[in-house]
Amino acid sequence: MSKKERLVGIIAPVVMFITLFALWEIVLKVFEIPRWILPGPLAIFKSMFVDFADFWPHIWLSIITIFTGFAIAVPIGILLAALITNFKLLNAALDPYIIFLVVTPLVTLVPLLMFFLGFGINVRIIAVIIQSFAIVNMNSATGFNNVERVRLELMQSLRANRVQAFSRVIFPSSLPDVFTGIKLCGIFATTACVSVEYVGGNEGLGSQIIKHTQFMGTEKAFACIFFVAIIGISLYSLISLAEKKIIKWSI
Amino acid sequence: MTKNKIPKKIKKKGSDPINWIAPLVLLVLIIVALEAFVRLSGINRIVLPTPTAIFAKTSAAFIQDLWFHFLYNFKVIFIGMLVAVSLGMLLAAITSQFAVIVKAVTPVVILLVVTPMITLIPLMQLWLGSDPNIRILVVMISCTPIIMLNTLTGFTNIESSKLELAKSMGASKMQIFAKVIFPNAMPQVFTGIKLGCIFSTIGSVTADFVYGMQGLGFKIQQYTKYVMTEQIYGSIILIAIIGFLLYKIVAMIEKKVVIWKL
Amino acid sequence: MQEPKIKFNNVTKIYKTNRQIITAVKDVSFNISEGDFVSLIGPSGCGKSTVIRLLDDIIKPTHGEIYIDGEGIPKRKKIPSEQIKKMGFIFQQPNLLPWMTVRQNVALPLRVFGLKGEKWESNVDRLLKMVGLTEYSDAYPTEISGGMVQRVGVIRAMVHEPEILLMDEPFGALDEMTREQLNIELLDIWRETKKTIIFITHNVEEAILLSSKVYVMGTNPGRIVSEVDIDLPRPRTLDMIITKKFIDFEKKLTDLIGEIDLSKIK
Repeated sequence: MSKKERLVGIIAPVVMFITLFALWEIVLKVFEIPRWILPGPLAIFKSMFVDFADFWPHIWLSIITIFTGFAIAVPIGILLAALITNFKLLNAALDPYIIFLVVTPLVTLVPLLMFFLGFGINVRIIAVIIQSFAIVNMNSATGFNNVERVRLELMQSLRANRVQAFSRVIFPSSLPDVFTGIKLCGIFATTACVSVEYVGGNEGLGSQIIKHTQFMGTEKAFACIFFVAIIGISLYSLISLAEKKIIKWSI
Repeated sequence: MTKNKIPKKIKKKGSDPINWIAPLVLLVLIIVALEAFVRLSGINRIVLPTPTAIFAKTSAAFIQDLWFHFLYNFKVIFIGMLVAVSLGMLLAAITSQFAVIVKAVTPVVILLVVTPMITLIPLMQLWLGSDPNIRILVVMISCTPIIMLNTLTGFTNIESSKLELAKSMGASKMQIFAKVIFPNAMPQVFTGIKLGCIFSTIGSVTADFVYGMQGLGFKIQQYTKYVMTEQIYGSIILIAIIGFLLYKIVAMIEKKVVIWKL
Repeated sequence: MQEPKIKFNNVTKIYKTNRQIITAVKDVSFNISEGDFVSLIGPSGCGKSTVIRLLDDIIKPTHGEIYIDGEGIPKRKKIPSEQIKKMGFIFQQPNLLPWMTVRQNVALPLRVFGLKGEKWESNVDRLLKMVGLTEYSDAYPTEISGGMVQRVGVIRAMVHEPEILLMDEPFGALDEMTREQLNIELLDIWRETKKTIIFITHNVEEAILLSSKVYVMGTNPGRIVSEVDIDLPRPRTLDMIITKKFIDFEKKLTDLIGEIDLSKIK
């Protein structure tokens, strides 16, 4: 990419964001929309700073919920995929169920979980794990199942055992798919966290969004939404960074 | 090597009977094992009821009123997805025309993808009241970003050699789009739509949680209150069925459209 | 009479699918002596790739036996490691692992076979030097040329000191000049190390230049159609290609292959 293209790549979105926020403010003024329905971005940013001390405990709890759940879901998903794809019969048998696990919003289990285990942060972390491990499982399994045959033949010609074949060839060549799964896992973890925080308890940004909306504190509600966005984009960026470092060989 | 090379697996993926026999056998095994486990281990039926009890109680509830909620979610999810797919692809098609716009818009869309759109659910109630059809809107905003993102990636990630080929044949911009760019993007587009399916079910159920009054998510909350565990599991299975059907329909369409994919 | 290094005894490989039964190779029998350089040549689908994969235990025969140094390859179990270590397999497509450097790729068989120690490690450097790639030891496969990639493929198959080299159209994807150069390099390696080599190619010229004996294989079903002794003097050089004897061999082989093609059309 030329220097000019890189510059455009950075400036264009910045301009876009500024334009969108400006438009937002303008639309509010022109249509005289009451601030309690839709506050402007400036008011929201102000609230994010001014009320930060109030927000912080919830921000922190949501961060912990998301990141811990994510950190546990990723290895579980990858390991399960590694196990399943190694045994053809198991692979065939479990394939539709993985799809089931992926498309079923496991957040449906949340009311039941909370009934038995309460509203604590551990329950929320569990909910995040069960909602997000399936997608990293599915993507990893796709990668593991679709290794080029010549690579597998190479391992056969060296009489490699399962572990050797997996660690030297199957896993490395699946890294792109695995990372896609990890990125999606991050997104689902964030979503699950908010969903869970909606259902029970007074902790975490999700609960605050509901609270502030109920009390017409729309600026604060939006501030919470923006904080969730920041968490989401941070997680995504971290994963992308790790991906770039690890997959240096596949451009 | 040429087409006469004998690959190890010549059978067309998916037509192998083991692909539906194995899961079926597993299902039967699981149901039987669960039934036995619950009966013999004396586990509290509130935590885990027997599969037969789940089936019986859920069927009874289904005939009673659960069918209504089932159809409601079905409608919300399907219509929401339909709109999301159309909108997402349209927006992607428009933005992909100009490289500058693509560069500007992509980070915005990524932001919309990583920020759960369910964060807007409470506010939407504030703005739009409690019309049950609002949930279609929820599903829509949950799915459109990811579909748009994947479609956009599909439209913009095309090998220059393919474009050169089209141009060398004197194709117009419209023709290039229709005959080269669009088909080339299809695999990526379908991946986006499948992901959209997942977001759609999450969005619908979360909306049920927050708004209440109807929907399988709402029923689950109700059943939890009255400790009717069998119906809870049953409802979850019903939602799973909706999601699974949706996914399979998309996969079937994909097979017809993306014929060159193995 | 000395035991042949490699012996195929009425080997047949049949694939069954939902739709059809395919006989990849039928009743293939041949003996290869130690130190021989033998080529398999034939039109696509004649089963030449199947033959060396059967030998390297990548696939199992449906009928028949395969012997290495007089010992049979087990019909059901995996080949014992002593047997497989005697062989090195060189693939048609560049089959280097892109996330490993050249050096790591060459050392891969040592890691998988569990061969540790100074003696084995020194092989890596020695082989890299032999093909002139010492400077590129830390490069990645995407950073080197096609000819270099194939050289790495060849020495990788040699690092564990196998007695037998199995080569599946290793130079097929290269341009003519690079291929000829690699052919000569291969002959040098063979002369020095005296390994037994089975070489698959669809290029008649290459087969004649390299081998002492050429097996012509046919399709439908895959089988050996004829055996041609190439009694050209050694060491072989590129300028032999224009000699009359060479051209006669070319004609003979081309005719044999042509007959197979015709019989296919019938």
